[in-house]
Amino acid sequence: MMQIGLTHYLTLGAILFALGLFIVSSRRNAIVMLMGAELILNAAALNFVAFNRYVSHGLSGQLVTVFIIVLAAAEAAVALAIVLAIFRNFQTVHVDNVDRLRH
Amino acid sequence: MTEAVIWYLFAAMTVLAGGIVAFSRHVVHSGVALLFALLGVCAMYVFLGADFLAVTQVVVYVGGILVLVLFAVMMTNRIMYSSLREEIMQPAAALGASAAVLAISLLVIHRTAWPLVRTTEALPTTQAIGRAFLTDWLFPFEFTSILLLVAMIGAAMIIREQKDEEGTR
Repeated sequence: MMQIGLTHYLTLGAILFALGLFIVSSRRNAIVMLMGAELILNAAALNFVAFNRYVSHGLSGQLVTVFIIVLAAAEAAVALAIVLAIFRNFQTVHVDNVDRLRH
Repeated sequence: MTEAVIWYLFAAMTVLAGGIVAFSRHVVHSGVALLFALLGVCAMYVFLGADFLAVTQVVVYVGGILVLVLFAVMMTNRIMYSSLREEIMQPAAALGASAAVLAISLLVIHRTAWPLVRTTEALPTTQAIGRAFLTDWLFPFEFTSILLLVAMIGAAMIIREQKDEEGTR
């Protein structure tokens, strides 16, 4: 219990993933959904680093985590651009109010 | 002993911040709580001996993505407070699905006999990561730079004002 091991990190990752899943599947605000996606990506990255530390030799897990962070940055940039474009056309960021492809 | 206590404090901060992101009525509160969740993950990287990743986490997530998110929140938030009942849809179904995923994950995590190996901590990792990127991982590294360029151009294209169309309207 007092010795921090692999299962501690995996448990934390699972909790973060479940929270992110809840956010993505229940919130209406597109920006908050994006925050949930960030939580999910962070949970995956945390698992990679934990496995890298406890199960594997070398640095592969940390390298994959660098790519995860880069992909999250690219995803956030494009997603927020889409959100702002939607807001300009629909005056809302609630995803269930956006049900038309064009005006 | 002390390390474990500090670890649990950071883990509690991360989970609590994640919970605030999920259940806050105010989008700005969610954004600020996300800051603490990301910092908690950064602390986990420090505990795991990943110094380069911890710094990258702060620089990219807190310095980049979070600022971007808060910027978008400020630009789009017309009604500052919306009630949680309007904001969250299908809470029971989402909560059930998330709880099921969490339960299955925890079951797998605690039932599996992980093949643990005793690895020596090689700190600092920055030099080894840089070396790996320019040798064995060169193709993904270069590919990622193209991806970032495409994402940047795409974001600029999407957000661009379409002046000629709006002029004719």
